Amino acid sequence: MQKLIGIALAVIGAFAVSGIALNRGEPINALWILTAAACLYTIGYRFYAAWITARVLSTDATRATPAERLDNGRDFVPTPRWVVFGHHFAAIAGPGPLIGPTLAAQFGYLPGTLWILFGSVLGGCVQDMVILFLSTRRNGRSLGQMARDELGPVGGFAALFGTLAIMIILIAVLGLVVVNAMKHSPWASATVFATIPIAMLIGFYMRGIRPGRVVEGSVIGIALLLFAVVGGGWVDHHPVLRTWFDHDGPALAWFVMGYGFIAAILPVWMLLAPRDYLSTFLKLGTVVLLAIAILVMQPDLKMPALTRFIDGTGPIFSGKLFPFVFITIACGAISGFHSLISSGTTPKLIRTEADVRLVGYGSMVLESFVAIMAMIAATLLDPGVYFAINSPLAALGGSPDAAVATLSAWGFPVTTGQMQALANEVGEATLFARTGGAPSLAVGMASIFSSVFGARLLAIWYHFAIMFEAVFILTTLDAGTRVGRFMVQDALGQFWEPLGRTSWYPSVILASAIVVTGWGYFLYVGVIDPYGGINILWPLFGIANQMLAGIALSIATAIFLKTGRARYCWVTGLPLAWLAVVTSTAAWQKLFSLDPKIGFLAGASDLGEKLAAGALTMEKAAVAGKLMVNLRIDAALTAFFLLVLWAVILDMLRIGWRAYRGEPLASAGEATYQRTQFAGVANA
Amino acid sequence: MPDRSVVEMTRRALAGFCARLRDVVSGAWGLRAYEQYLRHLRAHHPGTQPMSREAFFRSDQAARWEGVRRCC
Repeated sequence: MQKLIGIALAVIGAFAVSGIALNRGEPINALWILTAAACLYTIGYRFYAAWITARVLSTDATRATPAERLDNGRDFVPTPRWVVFGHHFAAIAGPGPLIGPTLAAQFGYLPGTLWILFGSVLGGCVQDMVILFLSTRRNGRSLGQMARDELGPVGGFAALFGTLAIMIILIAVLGLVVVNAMKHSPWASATVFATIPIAMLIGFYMRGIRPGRVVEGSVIGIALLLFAVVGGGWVDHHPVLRTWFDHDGPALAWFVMGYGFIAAILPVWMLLAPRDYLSTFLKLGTVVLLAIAILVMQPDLKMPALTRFIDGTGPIFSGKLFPFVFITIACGAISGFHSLISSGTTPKLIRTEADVRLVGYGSMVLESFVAIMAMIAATLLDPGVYFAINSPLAALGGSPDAAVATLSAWGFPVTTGQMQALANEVGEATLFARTGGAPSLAVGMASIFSSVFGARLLAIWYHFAIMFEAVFILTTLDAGTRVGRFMVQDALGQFWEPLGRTSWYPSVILASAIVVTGWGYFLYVGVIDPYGGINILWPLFGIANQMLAGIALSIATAIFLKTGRARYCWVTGLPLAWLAVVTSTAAWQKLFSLDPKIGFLAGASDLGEKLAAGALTMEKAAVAGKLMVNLRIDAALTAFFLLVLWAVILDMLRIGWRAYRGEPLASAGEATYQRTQFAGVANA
Repeated sequence: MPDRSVVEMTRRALAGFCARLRDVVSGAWGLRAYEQYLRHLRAHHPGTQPMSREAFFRSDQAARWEGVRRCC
């Protein structure tokens, strides 16, 4: 019976995938994509993941997990499987899978969709599950500790610095997305600003007024957030108030930096924790609502399967389909960041090893599904509108009029009148060059929601979507800055012990300032960049994130080699090889491509030449020096990521060589077997 | 007119599903951390005076934010 269902699914899935892939010329319905996704995910989960847990990992339901053995009622707690699933999904789901597919849609809907589906089923889900399992076997050890134990000091160093670097780049790019969404938009700015006092109010409510009543607090908070969306509209229509919230990019960048600094030094209960409760509720609610709305609306995708920009001349970001579609999709298919969660809080909650498949593989399937929905929301827009929103004006000729002419000549017809009408409908002054993915996703989501739940409310839905993304992003920004602060304090503590004390205020302020300066620099340069900064920062983030995935997969492969599972090492080895090829190619092109739009170094010298020749406008000449320095820093960072990735891979290959030679290798740290005391679990 | 027992079964299944959903959501958000802590104390350290809900919430919330908690 199982096999019959499997065969049926495989046939439907193959039919849907080939339907998507072979369809040319006429618009395709989003239901095709949802069908293909549902079949692939089910096959991946029921067959591939089940095979991995049974044969490769040999999960053992009779074995007591650390949650059972070390149960302390606090962080180690044996927890029911669906609860761990919810906890893990809430932790891994961030704004990345919403932004990546939106940008990658410039190649058409097909490449991104295929990579989201196959990349997650064969790569991302496998990584999350395997790391979760390995950490569970090792009493919940972190990725950094496992890297040190299994690969040696180089691996440990790589994991540590890789994590810090990716955090810095991630926060910078997310900050840039928020800034671009709020730029000269009083409605969006007022709503996003309002989320901060609302979060603090809920923080005080949960701590002082009704301690520990999280649900009550969150419900009030969500109601206030919705009110803030409507209130932003009133502010926007008020002649005086609206000027208070009408700011340009640099001013908003400074605001975001100040916010990040304050959030990192305030106690968690005041801002971070309540904001996180709100964003998690909002996140799940919106994802479910979006899925329902897409099912009801069944939109046609207007974007072609492939666009002309697969040749690397895209206006949103430069670079050919290979390797940049993989770098751009990033978190929706495979995200190195997830391995930090899989080796963090989650392994301490796993009640039995039998739950590893649902929690590790299943959560990533859901995350990948979110990415698919973002892809649908981006590609149901008119391609002309999509490109006009997401491309920097500098890439389309410098002005809205030139932009529509360029786009129409490319075969994506759009008019300034159409853009202005759309902007009026969503309550914005303009929608041209709103780079970063958030405004275009918001337009897509708003058109889905409003067609299902009421067309009059397009402006409200648009600003709801912006608020939703901003709350998400600011949560990651707070939490990331705080983690960075702890890491910097840990490092500083090596030099002078008091600096390592996490609650000593001079050290807290110093370390927070260092972290905020780090990401603030990239954010600021991104804001003043006439090309919008996203085209530089997002690939850099993609490379960093895939590098971290490479480290995680190397650790897993090394452990397979050490524990006599060499013949299965392709399970993590093949995704690793693919990531190594993709990431190295992308990093190499970003470093050495002679095309100034792709290569950082070529870009810097091109800018220098134009500046010397006086070929730049006043505006561009004023920032050219800063941009040149930044491009060289980006090049150095890319080289560093590439070196770290290959150092770790070579370390892993060294272990493989020793295993091949038959030298004795011991995997450190696996806790000794103890039989579980839970009744029924062992037989389940 | 559908059979009574079918209606009753559907109602029960729905109620069970909702209860389970509530469990999952409240568990995943750490909403029952205090009850969990009380259960742990009773099972493993009988006789210890437990912290109040307020005091527990304060210490628990700080502990929850050690390490990487949120992704991209």
